[in-house]
Amino acid sequence: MPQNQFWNLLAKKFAGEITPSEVEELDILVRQNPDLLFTAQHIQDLWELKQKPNNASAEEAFAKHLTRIEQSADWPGHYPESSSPEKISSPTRKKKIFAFASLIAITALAFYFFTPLTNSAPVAEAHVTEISTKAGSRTKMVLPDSSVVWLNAGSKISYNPNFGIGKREVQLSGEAFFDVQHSSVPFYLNTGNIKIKVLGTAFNVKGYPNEKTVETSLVRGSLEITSPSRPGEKFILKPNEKLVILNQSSRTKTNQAKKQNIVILSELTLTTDSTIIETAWVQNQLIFHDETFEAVARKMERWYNVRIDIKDENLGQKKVGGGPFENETVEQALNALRLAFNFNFTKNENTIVITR
Amino acid sequence: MTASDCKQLIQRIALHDDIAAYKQLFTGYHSALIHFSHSIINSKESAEEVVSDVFMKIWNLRHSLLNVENTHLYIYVVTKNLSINRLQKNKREAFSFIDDSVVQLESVYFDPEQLMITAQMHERLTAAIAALPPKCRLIFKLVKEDGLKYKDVAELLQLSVKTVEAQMSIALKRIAASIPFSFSHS
Repeated sequence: MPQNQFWNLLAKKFAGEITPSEVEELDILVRQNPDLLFTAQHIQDLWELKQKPNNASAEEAFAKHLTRIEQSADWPGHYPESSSPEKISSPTRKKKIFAFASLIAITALAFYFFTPLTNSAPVAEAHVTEISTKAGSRTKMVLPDSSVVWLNAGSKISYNPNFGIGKREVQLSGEAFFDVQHSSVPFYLNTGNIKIKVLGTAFNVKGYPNEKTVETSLVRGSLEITSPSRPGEKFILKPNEKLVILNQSSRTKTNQAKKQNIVILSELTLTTDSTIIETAWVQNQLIFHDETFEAVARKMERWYNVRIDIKDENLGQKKVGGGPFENETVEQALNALRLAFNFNFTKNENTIVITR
Repeated sequence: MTASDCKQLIQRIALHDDIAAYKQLFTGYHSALIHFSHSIINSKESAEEVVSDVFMKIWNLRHSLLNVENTHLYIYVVTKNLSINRLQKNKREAFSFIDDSVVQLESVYFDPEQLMITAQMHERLTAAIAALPPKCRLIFKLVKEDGLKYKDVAELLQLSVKTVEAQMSIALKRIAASIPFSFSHS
């Protein structure tokens, strides 16, 4: 039964018992059942929890034990109080002591959350958590602070083990909708050349590396956007506002010509039934609104996991709108667009060629 | 305590009578062994004494411990044996400790605020873990909290590795079932 195999492999993964071929098998199972990712994520968080070190009771027990063992014939004198094991220095120990010191300094919460039972588990060496989606699939996940993230197709999100210590920080490549749990611990999102700071809010970020812009759409709450390419400037978004920043890489290409367009602040786009277009994908809806055919093609490529080639440059720059598409196939969606925008297409396996 | 840390400490104790290493070994294993012994003899006081006996034995046998390949497992095996000895000395009825163990997981009994998960979710998780069959919970704890390999757990509890695998799957599946799904992917 594939479900049982999934739990078996997941347990082996956490326990460090998994073999490389089983890693692949687990990977396939997760891809076939993206919902499992959500649960797996939670269990991983649970697995990585360490118990509160109860050093006081262990110390006390050792003192008691000493009174027994000191009777032994070969016990080398009295236990010297000053030479506590914390003084033994080895490179890793020093690092750990330093890590512990900083952790305690930052927050008591961090101390409990990450202090291992013994002094042996490495603190700083734990792995970065990375979740990614392939073209054609979307997923929902929960971060360790209970913030919820919907990850659109062809996207990747990662955070390191100190997530939640002093700050909550994630890296995004691609598009995601965040519903951030309110907390006094600031939440930072890095994507492309922008950094977004939030406290508790719901927003959508679209920052695919191969696209010209990074778009931030705020649904509720407030957020603050900074970009190393525009030092000293801070953009504060209010609900229902959207900020579009040109990607650094494409800006160098377009040079001076479009400089006035580097940052565009606009309102979110609503459909007639007040669906917010920027976040419609979270509800499994694919909508186009006043976008170039080229941009629409990139969206469809990710949504349907196909390759779309527009053979006519004028057609590529033409503004297109349509949808919402939910359960339609890519052919059905293209046929619907074709009625309004007058083009032809041929599909050969996963490649679609669009001509006038 | 990882297996390699354990081995290093034992070496320092055996070669140099290193008391600091001995203390580190003691405090590093204390809580885990108390829980393990407690799960066998069902008495907190006796467990304390057994763990002290275990470390007496480690000190007395320290030179021969250099020949022990897996010292991490060895410490658990000694704890198991001394716990069972004590049970027999107390002339209690023999029982299958694996199926009657009272072991609890330490790492999930946390303040929900520190966990950064909702209180409701935390309740469901702890309830799910508490409801695991004793054998399943003991195996889960030995793997998760005590860092024993599947084959070590199998040897310690005299089970097959397949059984350990199966019990671990059950534990994860049961815990997963306590996590509410709010997402159904079409």
